[in-house]
Amino acid sequence: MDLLDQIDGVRFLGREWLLYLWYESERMGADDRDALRADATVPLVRPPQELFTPPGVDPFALYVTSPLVLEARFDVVERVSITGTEPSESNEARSALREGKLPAKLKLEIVRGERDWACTLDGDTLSLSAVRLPAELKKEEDAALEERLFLMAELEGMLDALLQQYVELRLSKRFASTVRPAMREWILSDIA
Amino acid sequence: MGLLGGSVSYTRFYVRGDAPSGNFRSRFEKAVAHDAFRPLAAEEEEDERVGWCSIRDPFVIELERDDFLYADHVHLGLRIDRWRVPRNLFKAHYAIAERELMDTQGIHRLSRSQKEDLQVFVMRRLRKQTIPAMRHVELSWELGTGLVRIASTSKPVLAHAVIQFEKTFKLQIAEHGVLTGMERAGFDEARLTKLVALQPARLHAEDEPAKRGAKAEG
Repeated sequence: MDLLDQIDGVRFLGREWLLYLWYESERMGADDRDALRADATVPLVRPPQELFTPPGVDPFALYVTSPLVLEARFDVVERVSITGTEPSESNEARSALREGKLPAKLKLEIVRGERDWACTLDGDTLSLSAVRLPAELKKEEDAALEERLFLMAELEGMLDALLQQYVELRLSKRFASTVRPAMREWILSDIA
Repeated sequence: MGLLGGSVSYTRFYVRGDAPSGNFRSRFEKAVAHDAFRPLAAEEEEDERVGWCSIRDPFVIELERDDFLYADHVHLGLRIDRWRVPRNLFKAHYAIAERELMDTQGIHRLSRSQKEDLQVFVMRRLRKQTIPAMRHVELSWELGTGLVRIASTSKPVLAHAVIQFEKTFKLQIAEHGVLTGMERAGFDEARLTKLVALQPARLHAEDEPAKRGAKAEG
């Protein structure tokens, strides 16, 4: 099998990873987001180990925002796009998951200290669209570009660490014994 | 808006192999000059042309080393120009030209070669009355890490960019994805083999025969 075939062969893991991010993000709340800011006056509501803490990067908060696009991976593409304030917590989204659809694109907001990023992550290509970077400080053209590239690298570093964490989990026995049943339970659970 | 400012959409690629070394700056300068953008001309046969330009200005197509080669980065713009003559407009003008030619020559039908010649003639005339559609795509290459960011998520645009990059720099690039990401993360051969052997996980249903042909988890 050549490299291109191998890349295509594991492309499905991108959508699975987006689902896992969504599943994990539901453990985060607005209070955590505030507490993560550098100038926070409120303490962390949840213990730090419940934040996103993939190895190699500082902890951060991650939220799934609107719109949420889910697709079935069958021969015929079945797609639903859910908008609203909290699409990931809607019954429509949960219902789409139960039908076997997976997130094709996930719009994320990531907060670390005083910086926050937003982007839409494509599950098939892992490309990033509508990336909003933290405000730049430098005005001179070359320095501003350098700063933007640095901020992109920060975002990529967090996403890459999350992807690696998921792949390592996926290759472990723990995925089949613990994570998959928990995710299945989450998918089948009712929204309060 | 893109890599330089505002909201940005982009796709990551990685150079396969070692970082450029030796007298690569001089080599790159010549290669970029060779593959710089050349404007389309109405008389030419090409419908589309792709070439390098400044990352900041698509009309700056004569690039010197300092315009694109920085201490640890290459920053370039990819300009893609394409003639876009609407089909209906072409058909209407062709019909008029066909009638005029037949009247002039006193004939009732054109041969196949006459039709082909007339199509080329009409297309060139229309091209002279319009300007090509232009796309400008920013590209930034980190020389040390081999990371190439291309400010597009469009498959045809990315295909152009990959071909142009590989042609100019004589280096192959691979799109960032699960496999390339884990290679870069330092996965050894054994773990990569396990990764390639994975099958989709059925997360939405109990362990039962796969629905509508979806593969079972391995």
